[in-house]
Amino acid sequence: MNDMRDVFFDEILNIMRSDEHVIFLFADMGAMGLGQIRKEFPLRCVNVGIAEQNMANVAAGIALAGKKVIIYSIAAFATLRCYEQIKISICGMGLPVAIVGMGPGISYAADGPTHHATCDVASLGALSGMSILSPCDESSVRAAIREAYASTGPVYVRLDKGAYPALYSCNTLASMTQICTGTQALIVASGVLTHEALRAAKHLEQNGISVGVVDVFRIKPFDYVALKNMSTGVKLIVSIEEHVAWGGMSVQVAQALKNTGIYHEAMTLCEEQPIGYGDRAWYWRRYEIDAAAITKRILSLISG
Amino acid sequence: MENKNSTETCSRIRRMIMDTIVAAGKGHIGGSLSAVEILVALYHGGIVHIDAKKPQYPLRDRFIMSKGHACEVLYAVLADYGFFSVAELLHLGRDGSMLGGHPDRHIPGVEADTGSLGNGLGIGAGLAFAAKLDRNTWRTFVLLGDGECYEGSVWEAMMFAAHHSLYNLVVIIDRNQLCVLDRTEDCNRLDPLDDKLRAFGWDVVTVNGHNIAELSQALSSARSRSSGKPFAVIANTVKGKGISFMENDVRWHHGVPKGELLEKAYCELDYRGVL
Repeated sequence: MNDMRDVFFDEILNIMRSDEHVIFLFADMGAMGLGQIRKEFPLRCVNVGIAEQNMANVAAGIALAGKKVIIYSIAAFATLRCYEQIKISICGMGLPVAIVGMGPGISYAADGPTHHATCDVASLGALSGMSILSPCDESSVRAAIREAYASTGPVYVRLDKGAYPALYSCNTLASMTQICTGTQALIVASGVLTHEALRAAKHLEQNGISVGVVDVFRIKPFDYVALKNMSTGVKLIVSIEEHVAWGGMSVQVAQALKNTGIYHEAMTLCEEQPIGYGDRAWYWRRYEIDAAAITKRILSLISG
Repeated sequence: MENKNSTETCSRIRRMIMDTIVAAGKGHIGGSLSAVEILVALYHGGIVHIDAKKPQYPLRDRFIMSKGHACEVLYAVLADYGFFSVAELLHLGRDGSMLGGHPDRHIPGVEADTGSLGNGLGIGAGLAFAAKLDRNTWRTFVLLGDGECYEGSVWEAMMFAAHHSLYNLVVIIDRNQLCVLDRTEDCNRLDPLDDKLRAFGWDVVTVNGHNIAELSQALSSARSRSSGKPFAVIANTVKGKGISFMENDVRWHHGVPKGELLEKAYCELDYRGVL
């Protein structure tokens, strides 16, 4: 298993080798894999410094000249620090710029709330023409970058760090995929939380409860039809996300399930600013979105 | 550009601005009137290499009106230059009209959506970066307002442009000394603006922004420089230029004169109104 950041940089390298009209901008933020891109493409791979607003505007200008641009920074800064530039200069003009946010949700854990991106789906999802992709393993990272590269409009990729078990084996993905099936409930997850959902499904199976897991790769546009189809025959759906309740993926899940009679439980972060510091698992426990909390919630909902 | 012609063109543009604003019942008149000579020098003076019949020609020069609120002068110049019908000006802001209160790329001749201040220079820097990378010879021109220079993103872009030696990027600053409510020097001091730009790594010249000959000379020199630096022209202007009671008066950042004032404005423009 490779760190998803290195997979991301490897895929960018592949794309830049094959297309001389791809420009990579980053705001003084990288990982091991970035070195090779900088070495091979010193003119097309540019550190703009810690200046996200300018990075987004420059990306828009380069895209106006007919090129594809990928911009990269910590998710919290790649989204909100330059939100207006994304809204007006990129989305307003419908330009093919991929915004890759490193560390969505509480990925940066103990670095604290300045580095948390817990409302990125709500904020970027509200922008015109913006797609949101949320990969969870090596193959889906490659799929996300390929899709962002092929897109004619803006795309936001929630890129996480760390290595995770492979759930996919191809580089082109459907909007969402049923990773495992179950008859009593369905967990709808995305990104690294899909792995927590799978752990919860396993615990529940050991308790004699059959639970399926859906991984959402494309949060926007949300595939309401696909989720509705996958929900057929299930009475309970639990959506889980490392995002505040307001405007997150769970809102889209609820929309998909409207008039189906299926009970939907949304497990999200609360609205408050996190207080205290710890690792990511600590935050997950605190906000009750880890495998244990999902297991407990589903057990209580099913057993009443 | 020949003097008589340019004077006539500027007078015509001022009348068109006035008509546009009177028809719309609103508009940013002060900052439009201060930028008339700048835009006329750029377009009618042949500095910006562009063909109104081929607005999407890939190798055209780009002009970005970063101070997008002063769209009335841009629309008047674009219409006068042939990008769209002059009659369109009288429909600004009306239901379903092509023209709104800030420029967007759906309008022929408009290169970028602007209106939220501080973003045009970064976009222009991106265009210039791409042109330089491809070894294309087209240039990018950006007009900034001086009040706009309070935005931090302007200075992020200034740094970027100088660091990347964007010799093909020209910024003109409409230095009319007034922001919405105050004189810039009473709000947050901008001066010495030229020294600031030089310290950021730009070539800088300061001109009378209402003198077409000075503007043309400075803007023409943009192509012949060999320093490799981006180029800034600080154009000293008068907000509300051409209508005496508006000149240097913050009350005319936006607004429409009515009654006797409108008569006086038309009289000074030597014009009776309506295109």
